[in-house]
Amino acid sequence: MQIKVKNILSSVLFLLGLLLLLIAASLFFQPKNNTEAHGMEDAKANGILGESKETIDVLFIGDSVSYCSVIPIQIWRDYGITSYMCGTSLQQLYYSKEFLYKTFKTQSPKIVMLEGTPIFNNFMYKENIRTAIERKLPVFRYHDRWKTFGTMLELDTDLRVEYTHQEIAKGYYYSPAVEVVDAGDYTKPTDEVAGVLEDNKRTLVEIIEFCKENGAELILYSAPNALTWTPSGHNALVQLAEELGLTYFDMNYMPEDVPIDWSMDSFDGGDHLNYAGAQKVTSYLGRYLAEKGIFADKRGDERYKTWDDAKKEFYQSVVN
Amino acid sequence: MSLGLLLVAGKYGDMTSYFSMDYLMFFLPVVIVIYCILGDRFKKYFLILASYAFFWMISGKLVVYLALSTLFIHYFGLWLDRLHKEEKECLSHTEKEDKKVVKAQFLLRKRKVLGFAATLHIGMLLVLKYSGFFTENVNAVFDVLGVPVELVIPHYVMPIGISFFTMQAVSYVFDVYRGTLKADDNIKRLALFMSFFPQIVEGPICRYEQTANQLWNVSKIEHKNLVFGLQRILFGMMKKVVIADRLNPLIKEVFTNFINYDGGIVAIAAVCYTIQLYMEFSGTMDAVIGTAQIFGVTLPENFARPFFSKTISDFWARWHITLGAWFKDYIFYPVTLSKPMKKMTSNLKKKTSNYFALLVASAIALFCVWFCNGLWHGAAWNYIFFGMYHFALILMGNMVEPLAKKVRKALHINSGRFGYQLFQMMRTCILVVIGELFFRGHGLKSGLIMFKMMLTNFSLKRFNLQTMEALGIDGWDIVIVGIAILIVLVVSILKEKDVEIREFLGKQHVVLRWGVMYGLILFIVIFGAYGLGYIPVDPIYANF
Repeated sequence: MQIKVKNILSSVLFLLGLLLLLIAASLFFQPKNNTEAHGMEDAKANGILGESKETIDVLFIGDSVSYCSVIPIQIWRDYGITSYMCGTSLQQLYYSKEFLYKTFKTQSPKIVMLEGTPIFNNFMYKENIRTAIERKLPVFRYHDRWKTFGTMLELDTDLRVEYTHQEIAKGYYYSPAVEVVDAGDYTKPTDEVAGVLEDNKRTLVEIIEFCKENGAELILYSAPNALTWTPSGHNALVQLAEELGLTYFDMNYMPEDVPIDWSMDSFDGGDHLNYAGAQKVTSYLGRYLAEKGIFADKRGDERYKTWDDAKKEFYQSVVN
Repeated sequence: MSLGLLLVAGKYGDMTSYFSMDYLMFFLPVVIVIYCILGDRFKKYFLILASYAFFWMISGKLVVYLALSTLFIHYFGLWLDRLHKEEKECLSHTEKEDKKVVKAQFLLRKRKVLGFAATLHIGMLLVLKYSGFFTENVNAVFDVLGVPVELVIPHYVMPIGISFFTMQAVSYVFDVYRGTLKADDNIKRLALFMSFFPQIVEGPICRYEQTANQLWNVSKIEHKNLVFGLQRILFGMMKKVVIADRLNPLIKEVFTNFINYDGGIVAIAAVCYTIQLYMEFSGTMDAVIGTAQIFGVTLPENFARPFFSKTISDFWARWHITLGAWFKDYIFYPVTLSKPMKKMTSNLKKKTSNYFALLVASAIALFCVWFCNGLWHGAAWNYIFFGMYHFALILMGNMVEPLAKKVRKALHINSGRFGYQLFQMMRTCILVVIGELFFRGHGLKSGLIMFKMMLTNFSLKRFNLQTMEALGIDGWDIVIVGIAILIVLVVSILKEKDVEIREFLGKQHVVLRWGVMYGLILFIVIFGAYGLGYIPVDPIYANF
């Protein structure tokens, strides 16, 4: 019996020691700032971490369809509403949820806008567990930084994490290129309803609950997309929104509000919008958000001076 | 059937890798905890349940193949056993002069049962795994002959591990037929022998007498077994995650787009693939044997430092040992000892020499073994070529050995000297690497072109950091892989010298013991090729 107790105790001690080592390694390996040079993944989207506390009104999440179609700086320019685009390539909902967790640590956006495509980007629920572990022990996510050990020693002067980098485009991906596409009758309605995986739905419910708990409204929308968007997917999102009590609007069916010209507004044959297309989408979204009447116009407010600076720099850099 | 069960069916394909998060952080710990809580008499039943749950999670409804296979061998075994008993009883009251006839009658009946069982199992494997390949080739022949017929190529979904559990099933029935094994009347024990979850995906291919009773008599988990088992899993994980997976981008790129590279890069890719295959498969075996050890079950080893082999025969006695042993026992010996073969050998002995007669007999048996070995690995010509390549090497080795002995003697070469042994090892390694080139190539044609490139366009001009980086392996990757290979080499040398490393480590001070373990874990966590920027690599042998 004594040996058994001793063995259990030594196992527990061993595991505790291992946990401490992993925590220490995590402190060492996690990026100390939110830039690519510091090893931060998806640095554009993680630019949200560098925004001043409690300054973001609206958070956008989604995959590449979203980060090519919304220009937060334009919304700021037109309405004085601060927003950030946390879209990443092929984003899946568990990763969208990660951005919510990160954002709400320092921000309290009143609206979270989820572009619908990730709802169909299938994943297994275990990814939620993996990311939760990685959040607690970042060594599992950033272990590969050993390859830039020299840079690490140079940049990571101490173990403190301080996110100071602010993205000029606030997560938007700028592309002025044009690839003409014959979109045809891609919005032709159908009775078919696309399937949504149970794991995706479960994570979406968690996102809704998280937003509610944090006093934010989750709004679901579909950005114009002539390639991967489908009428059956639209039907699925309509059903889902109804079932879960969400607001949903689909810009593919709103040609008057969002007059996309597929011969000019996409840079890759209809999958992603270029700058011209994004301006049209943002124009509508900015108006939509402003009409909600819950956001003060912060233009001219000294606290938001960095947004004016970003606007200046952004419009200097883009070729309209 | 509950909804929960339906939801997990076949959804955890990731668990075909014993290093996946699902397996190591969810399945295995849960099984260990429940196993510990249960009373001793329930443990074995729980292992059956866990094994079937595991198979259900990775294969879904295809679990039925495993269940049917178990059911079949159970009844075929009992049938054969009954025939043995009947024969014995019959012989006991048969006159001496009639015994031969009775024996022949029973032999025929037993052979029919064995044939039926083997046809059922191997037939199922042939249909599922090889019918597509066979049809493709029939179509190709029709095409050449100008026959205007094109057969529809069948595609079947194959349960994971079928090549492994089918061989276990056949060996069981064969052994009962031979009378070296008594049929098991306990189907639950047989089910556990067939399905034990650590070995169901990639083996080792166990014999009934090796594991069935061990599994049936499992009891409490001992601390030493738990520690040793986990240590072995970790060591295997290092082989797989740090070495094999880190080499993967280079191998994938060169074998896919070999035409863009010269013979030197192709040769490097072939060497890397050989290392990857060994680290991946032997690493998985470490995880498998380590997991079994946690439950107090000793599984047969599948690897014994194969790159220390001095000949190709020696290599195959050290690489995928249980597969080689299976072919030896169930193909090589039956062919060699078959009546027509004995007759032919005897005739040849009279007409030629003893040496030549035995050489021809072994050549025929070896041909059968290596044809099956090649085909077992996959339904494609490059696998058959791989088998024939090794057949040719082993046969040549057998033929040349007497002459080589004479030459060594004449030149006063001491075969016991390290330098000579090193030469033999290097020679064997080169031959193995060439074989693996064909094994990994996308079809036989690609393999042949790549081999030709190695011979005619060999240059190390492009072997520099820039090229390696373009292939997805930078300087740091090379350093880390090098360190990890060095660790494996040191451990292999110690094992070759019969040093029991875990026993040795277990006797050391706790600081050193834990330090080594923490070091190994951190080495894997930090230098493993997983997570951000890495594409998970599927287990190679799970596809065979």
